Amino acid sequence: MKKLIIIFLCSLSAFVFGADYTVQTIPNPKNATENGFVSNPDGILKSETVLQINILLDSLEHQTGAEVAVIAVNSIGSAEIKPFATDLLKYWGIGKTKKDNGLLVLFVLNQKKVTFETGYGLEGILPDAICKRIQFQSMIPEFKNGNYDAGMLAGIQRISSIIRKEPMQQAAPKAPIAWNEILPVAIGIYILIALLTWLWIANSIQTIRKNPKLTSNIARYKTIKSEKSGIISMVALFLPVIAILGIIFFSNPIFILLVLPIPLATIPANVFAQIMMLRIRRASIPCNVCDGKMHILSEKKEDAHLKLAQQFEEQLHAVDYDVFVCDKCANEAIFTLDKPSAYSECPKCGTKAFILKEKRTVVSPTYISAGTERTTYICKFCGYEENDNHNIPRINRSGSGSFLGGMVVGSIFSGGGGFGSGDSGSFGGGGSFGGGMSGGGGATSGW
Amino acid sequence: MKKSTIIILVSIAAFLFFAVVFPIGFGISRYNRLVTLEETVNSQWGNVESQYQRRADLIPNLVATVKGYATHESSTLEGVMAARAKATQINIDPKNLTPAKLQEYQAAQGQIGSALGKLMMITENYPNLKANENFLELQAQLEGTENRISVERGRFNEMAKEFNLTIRRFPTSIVAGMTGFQKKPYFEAEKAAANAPAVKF
Repeated sequence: MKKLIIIFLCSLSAFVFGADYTVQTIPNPKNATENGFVSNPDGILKSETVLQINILLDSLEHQTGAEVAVIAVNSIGSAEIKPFATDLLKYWGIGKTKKDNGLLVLFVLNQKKVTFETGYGLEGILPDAICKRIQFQSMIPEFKNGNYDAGMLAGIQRISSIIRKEPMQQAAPKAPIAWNEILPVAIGIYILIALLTWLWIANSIQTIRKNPKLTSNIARYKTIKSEKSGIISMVALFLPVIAILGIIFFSNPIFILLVLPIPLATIPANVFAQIMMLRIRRASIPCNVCDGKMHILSEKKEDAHLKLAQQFEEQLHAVDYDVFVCDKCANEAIFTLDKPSAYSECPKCGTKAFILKEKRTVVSPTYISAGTERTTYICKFCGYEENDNHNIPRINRSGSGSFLGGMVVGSIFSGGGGFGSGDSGSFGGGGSFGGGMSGGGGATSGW
Repeated sequence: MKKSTIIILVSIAAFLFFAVVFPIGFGISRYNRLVTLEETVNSQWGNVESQYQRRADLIPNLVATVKGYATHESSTLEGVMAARAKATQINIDPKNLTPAKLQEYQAAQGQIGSALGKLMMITENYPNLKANENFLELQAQLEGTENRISVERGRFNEMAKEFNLTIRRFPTSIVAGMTGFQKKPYFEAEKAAANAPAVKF
């Protein structure tokens, strides 16, 4: 009689509160849909929450391969929650075979308990203490207030972030940078760079001086100048670029700061080369008429030996003239040094004083037709003017540059898209969990 | 050759096949299956032992943490350490796993279990200890380890049961008897767990 009453009460409670689920009767979310991870037969969680959790866990599986199943039921009868979870994980095979990277989150309302069951492969990432901490910090406080959706979502989010971050945690912890050890070494390297640059430049100056092909002072001056700028740019630009690439690829980007002073290290060599260049340019040369020596005249004195046009060019800093006069026979020699400037040679008088005066758009270009632009050049010495008409291409709505850019970006992205497909193959065709195992790992908390 | 001679030769060959070749082949395949089964039981024994070892490894840390708060409970703490020291001395080679040895092992581990139970009981009296982060995590780990122990023990029993059934079933029992496979012992249910929970209304 007593037995009958118990059976009657049990079936009544099952009728009122929903069925007491067993491992075999809990609906498997994989049977309903392939990317379902939540079993919510009693509607404890809202459908929005289920959707959110499904999206989160689907992307988690695609990224890490870990399978997380969430089950929320009213009752599992008198079964103990933890062994129930262990059996259910094995029964559904949550987690990939061999990897056993499954996690089961079981929520039983009438026992007021939630448990995590970690597969063997996840025990390292989610040790019991971490599971307990997630439950106590994120889930239980919400569950106590009846906010099952909020608690479950918060817990799943933390689980997923922990599983995601796992590969990153393997990186070595950041040690504080020992600047007091690095700086002396860095300063030593700077000094070394400065000395080597100096030696390099001094050496090439010496070679150029002895080069018999370079006959005039100006020729030597020019060669040294180009050699110098080559060496300096090599050291001041090329070296830092190599250093930066090395630093980015091998260690901490903060060390890029150390690269900045490298160009400064070339200053002494640069100054030295500048002085040597001037000295070579001003060095006295043997007279080609008598056996005397020719000396350079100062900028003020040389004007008497130069034409008006040449003086004008010097004033514009377009050309530099060096005048050498022999101390015995008054033989004079003028050397010309073209300076980099905006001036070019005037087609009429030949003076290097021809310069762009203005640029004017005569007809503006439109989307339909090309425009015209007029440029005016003037010689500052003789006043000669020259006009030139150019076509301006019509305006394009989308530049070809951005189109090309888009293609490059597109190809990079489509290249990346191929990655994920490798893993999805391991997924059962009709939708199922991977076949993982657990050994009772995880934690249980009640409220 | 006469027809009757051929018949005699064929029947001798058939007799030899059924009486010698077939039983030997069958015996070899059964024997190999038994070896495989025994090996799974042995490796499962390894899983059981490693979970017990895991619990034993947690104890020094746990005791050190509790010591800092529960200064008057040195006898309980010493009891846990003594039980641990005793249990870690008992190691069983799975190849000669006898019921007596398993019982001895289980008794020693059971002592750790009950000593830990006592320890956990007294920690209820120390609210500061219960708020200690380190202690809470050790507690969670201990709980997880107990779960793991029971899971691995359950799996060991299942595998031992399969092995025992196989060696006792005819005709494999003949092969097992000839090659000397012994029945594997089972873990017995813990005494506390044996009491089924009373139904309360």
